Amino acid sequence: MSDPSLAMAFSAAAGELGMSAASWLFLRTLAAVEAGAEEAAIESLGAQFPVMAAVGAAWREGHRGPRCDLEGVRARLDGVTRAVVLGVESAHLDALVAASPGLELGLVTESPLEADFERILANFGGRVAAVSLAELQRWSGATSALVTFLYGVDSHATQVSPIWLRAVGDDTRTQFRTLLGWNVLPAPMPVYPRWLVEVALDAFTDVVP
Amino acid sequence: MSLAFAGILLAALIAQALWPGARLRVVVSGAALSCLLASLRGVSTTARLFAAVPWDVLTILVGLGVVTEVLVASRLFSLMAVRVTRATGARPWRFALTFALVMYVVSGLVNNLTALLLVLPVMLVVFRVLGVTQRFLSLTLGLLLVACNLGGAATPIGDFPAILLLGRGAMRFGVYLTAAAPRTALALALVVVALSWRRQASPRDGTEALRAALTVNTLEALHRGIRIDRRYLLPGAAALAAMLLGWVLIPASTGIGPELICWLGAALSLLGAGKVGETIARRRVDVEAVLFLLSLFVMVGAARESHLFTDIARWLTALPLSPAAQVVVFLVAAALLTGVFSAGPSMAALLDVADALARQHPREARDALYVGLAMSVCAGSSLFLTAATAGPLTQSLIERAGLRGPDGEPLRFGFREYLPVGLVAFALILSVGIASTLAAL
Amino acid sequence: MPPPHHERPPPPRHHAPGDALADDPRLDDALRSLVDDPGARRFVLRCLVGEGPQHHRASNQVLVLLLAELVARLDGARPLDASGPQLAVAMRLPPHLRGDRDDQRYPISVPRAVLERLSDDPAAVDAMARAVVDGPPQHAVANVVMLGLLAQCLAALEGRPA
Repeated sequence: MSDPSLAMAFSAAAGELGMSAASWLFLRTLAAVEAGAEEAAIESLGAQFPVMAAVGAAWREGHRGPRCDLEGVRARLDGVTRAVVLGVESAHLDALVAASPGLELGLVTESPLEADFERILANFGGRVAAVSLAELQRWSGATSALVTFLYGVDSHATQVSPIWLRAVGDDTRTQFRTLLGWNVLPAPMPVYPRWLVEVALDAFTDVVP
Repeated sequence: MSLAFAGILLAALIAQALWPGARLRVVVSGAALSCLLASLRGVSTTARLFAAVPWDVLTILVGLGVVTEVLVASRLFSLMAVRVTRATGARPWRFALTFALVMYVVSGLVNNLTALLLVLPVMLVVFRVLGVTQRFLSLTLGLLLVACNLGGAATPIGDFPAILLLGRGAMRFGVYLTAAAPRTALALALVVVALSWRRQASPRDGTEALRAALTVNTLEALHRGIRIDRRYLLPGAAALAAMLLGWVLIPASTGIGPELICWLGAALSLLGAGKVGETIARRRVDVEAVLFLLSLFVMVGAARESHLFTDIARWLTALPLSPAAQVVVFLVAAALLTGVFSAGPSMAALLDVADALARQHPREARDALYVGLAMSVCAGSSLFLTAATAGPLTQSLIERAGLRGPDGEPLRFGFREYLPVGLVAFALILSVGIASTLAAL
Repeated sequence: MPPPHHERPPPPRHHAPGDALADDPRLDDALRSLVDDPGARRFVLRCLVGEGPQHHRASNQVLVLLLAELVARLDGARPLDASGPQLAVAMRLPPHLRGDRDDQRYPISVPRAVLERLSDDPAAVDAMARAVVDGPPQHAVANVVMLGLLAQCLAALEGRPA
């Protein structure tokens, strides 16, 4: 498979499933069709998509699915009645929706990649509402939370979707009780986090490592 | 006098073809001008021109659009596209053919533009993940558009030209269906055979199975939690089925015409869809199409009052040719005019001429002439990418998608890329239309 | 190994280097009698010492700790009277984004009676109340917190419930 077309294929999946979920999907699919095919994808895509590089490293260590500490998230959202998610990671979102029937959920409909948010949201059967950046504050409150996905956590920093920076400023930070970062990678990324931005861990009130 | 009305009609048709972005303003202004001229010269009045508008046709158009929207709310079309992809295993040529066949059937039953809008996003995912060549992209989308046009012509409710025949009472539902469906199916088969030699799908680098698996799994993951919403599927499908039965079984002698059957079916689907039905009725009715066609009908009506079309028909029948050759001239002209002006305007203008021509032939031959006209309009709609609304819509969706080929080159789908498919389809559909019409004369 | 320009830059920090005091556990204790729920208390504390300009954070920290010490020495830490009119801080949201939920205000309130000690004129008390709850949370929420601590001190000095 040529690099440009494989990268386009990965972008199509990552835009709506999330970088981590798309990486696992690609590796599992390729390995199932032809043993060893996933290695070529890790090499080819890993150079362009750091999340794939990190997932590829985990794959080589024997992991076969994303890191998903749902209990950790539920504990940190105790007392929260509604949460707005920034960024897409389908496996984690599916788990959160299934495990939190009483939680009102919104998803910010912005992405650095092309994404059909109508389709993304249709997967949740009406449980997750579309939230534009302009109306983010409508969801604010003393029992509201902002949630985003972290791509690797070290002692002081992490990587997040740039949408987090677009949405969370000095005003919104004090209008949400909880600013939760949910790590989806088993290890920090080995290369510069293209597509993502690095932020200090103390930008969050809670981190699920 | 007829020259003035012909001039307005022709100028409006040319202007809307040249500046599609201003087409509504052009035809609305043209219609107003026609009314003014007809009133000032005492040829007709606005009330008379409006009374002559085939409201039954517009009712059927709106009614079918409403039922389509109820079905859209059920997510039927996008899930159907996912299942079709899975069924074909994302093997490129099988995928292209199956989609064409499915859209042919779908276009015969519902508004093909809406269905296409919902199927294309799924196809775009397939194109992206599968990794396609420029040739395959042009061929697949070209074939899809031609299949939509043919599907629209296959049934009396598929597209405007056939709806016009049904609504004006030129043909009965069953008669049109039994005549047009086999002809359009034959034309589609011929187009597929003619295009299949060009089918190089994607680069053959030994990774086809990997690409296919990635495509199917990605598509399923993107739609993992999406289900058909029966709250809308049931009323939409039930209404459509009831309408089809009504059109086939209820005789015209009862006074219940096709437009009333459609209206009742649309109302049934809206009632069944609950609040969404109310939203559809308020916001999703295609006012643009109604206004466009209404304006055309007014201009055509003014021209009709001045006997323009009977003059053209008289000129046509006075040609030193056999009746069969006259029909061929008419059908070829209709196809070419449609290629330039698109189906709505040309059909609205030419049906009167067809009526005049048809009166020279026995009943069975008349039916064949009407179906031949529908086939000609279908051929013309398939000639250029700009001839049918679905073409520019597909073009803009592909442009926005930013697809790239195997080596990273940008892929396009524009006038030039479509033209080879369009020429083949035009020639074959028109040939089938002419041959079948001549055989019935 | 990635090329040198791929090496990570030093991370941007949300907290300023002098913020180590913000984790002082005495702050949580100081607010315990004003905000019962731990999650809500954490939110209020963040507004005071975790967000906004450094000099405001530090000032809030100093003043709250000293007021809390005063409350402790007077043995006055007890819940405030919630039965009468309250001073609460609404979130500063654009009007069109205000919802109908009652939690779009910070989870702390103090009796308005504490201001009524300063004037008998309702208009003057209204003006004071508007001023106290105006501004970003490191001002407005901090004002209400400190008013609450002051109300506890005054009540303790007067030997009555807060």
